[in-house]
Amino acid sequence: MEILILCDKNDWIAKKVHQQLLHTEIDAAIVFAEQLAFAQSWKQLISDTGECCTEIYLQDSQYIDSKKLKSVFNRIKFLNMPQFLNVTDRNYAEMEMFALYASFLKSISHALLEPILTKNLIIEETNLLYYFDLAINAGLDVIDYHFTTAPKWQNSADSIPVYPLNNADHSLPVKAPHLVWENLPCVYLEAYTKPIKIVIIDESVYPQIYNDKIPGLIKFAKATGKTFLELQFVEADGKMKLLDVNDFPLNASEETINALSLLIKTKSL
Amino acid sequence: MILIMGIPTEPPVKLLLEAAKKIKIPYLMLNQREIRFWDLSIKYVNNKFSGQISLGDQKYDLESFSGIYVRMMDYNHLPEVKDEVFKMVNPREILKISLIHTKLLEWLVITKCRILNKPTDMLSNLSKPYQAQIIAECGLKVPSHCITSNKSSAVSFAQKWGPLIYKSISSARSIVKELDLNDSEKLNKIKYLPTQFQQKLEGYNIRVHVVGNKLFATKAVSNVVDYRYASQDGEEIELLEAQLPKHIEESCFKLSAKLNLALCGIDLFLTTQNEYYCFEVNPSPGYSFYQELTGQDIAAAIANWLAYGDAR
Repeated sequence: MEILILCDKNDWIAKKVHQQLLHTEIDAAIVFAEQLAFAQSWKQLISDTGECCTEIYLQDSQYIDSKKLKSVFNRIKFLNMPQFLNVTDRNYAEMEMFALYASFLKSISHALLEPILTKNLIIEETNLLYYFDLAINAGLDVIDYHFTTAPKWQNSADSIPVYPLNNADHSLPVKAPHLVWENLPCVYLEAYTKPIKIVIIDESVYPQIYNDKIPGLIKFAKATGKTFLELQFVEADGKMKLLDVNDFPLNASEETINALSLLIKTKSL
Repeated sequence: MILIMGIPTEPPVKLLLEAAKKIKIPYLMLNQREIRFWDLSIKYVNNKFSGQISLGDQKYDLESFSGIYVRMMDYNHLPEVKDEVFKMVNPREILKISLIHTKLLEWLVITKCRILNKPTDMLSNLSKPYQAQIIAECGLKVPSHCITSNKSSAVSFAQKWGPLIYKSISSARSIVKELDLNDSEKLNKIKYLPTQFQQKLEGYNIRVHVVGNKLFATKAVSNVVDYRYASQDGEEIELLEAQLPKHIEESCFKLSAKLNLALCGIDLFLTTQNEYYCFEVNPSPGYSFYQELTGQDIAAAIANWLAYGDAR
């Protein structure tokens, strides 16, 4: 097994990429998170010099040897361990399995499309401030944004009050004027129009419509350490401004699937 | 002025507050237990960041602090959130507590202030074997590990490296125990969850605290496998100031820099063969335990580093 896709069972993108690779006669394996959680056995050895190798025997007799992997597309962020019925045991087992999985990923950095970084060892809400900071450093514009715990006293007629946390599905922010009336924490966003999604895969940008932005977008993507990103831009104050970043897209165009497949194939050569 | 975020009665925070007072470094204590009384504002306007925390007339620009010490507990576990202490905190305030914590943690990731430590840099000890690979990249040896759910793999590892100890590999705290190969009931259980086995070393533990450009080494003398729990086993522990060879000090500084943890607690082990090993790095060390027993003034070093960028 040299080319491997690791994903959840219902990961549409990973499955499409796998089909695309098979269609072009690339021998790629796909392994679901569930198979790893219920694997017949795991064995990871770490030497005193930090050399790490992992062998995983799956129930269906597939075998993963970390030393043989050449290209890996990892889409697993967490391993559920439903076999532990007691909540305390399950929480512990999930922490332990994730720790093992992170170590496995670290040991196959050479093969991963997106090397594992310490900052990505946790699943959390998108940190927009972090992405805004990187975007500005990359020369991109970001939307005027104001989080406040006292919106009633900081009202701005030109801004739109929205819920302070991002939508999990990265849909456009929902207007929430009642937060101002009730003086509950909210975010004020500058008024905007024309939302457009841009996908970045490695050094390619889709759709290729804002040519002057491409160097900045690639610089931004490199700074995130992510290979596959979906950015929400909007028009505000006559400029294209960044509104949101999705670092784990769940939908993709055919063009995106093809680009990901090509990237996996190239990595394996 | 330095910003201290946490609970003022918690020993590491308490010692830092005392040190800052003693060496006359102005500070702001942002007490998590009282965070609902504060207001927070974070802005990006024309691609420029600004932020402010305020309590009544007191207003502080977030980026105006010379340094920030972060020792915040998960807000979900604050008594007023978890247990609704005295029913004095209403749902509006709980929402405010959660959002202030969330946004402050987001800001801490991007702040240009000196910081001990950024929340995203503190994640490496969620996976000890992940961290072990980074430790080895910095020139420190790590004990040989085998993490397995296969009994025969564990037994063959024990035959090569035994005696072994076993412990957790995540941030879940576990008491280190020695493996008894005759305890087949325990060994049979590893099929349910991969378990870490590690060669048991003979010698003594050394805790190193790196604070920016300063290092404190403390030798722990104890007869038990896990000296942190010596008292539970009815054993005594003695902590003594220690000196490290230059190359080990350099590796500790390198490791602190590689993990981007200007403050960290590094668990070393000096074997009877005079070899140094590193077990793990704690990104938010409870240094007070060591300071109180040795008199090493780690708190002052932290305060100085936050205020002036120099821990000496």
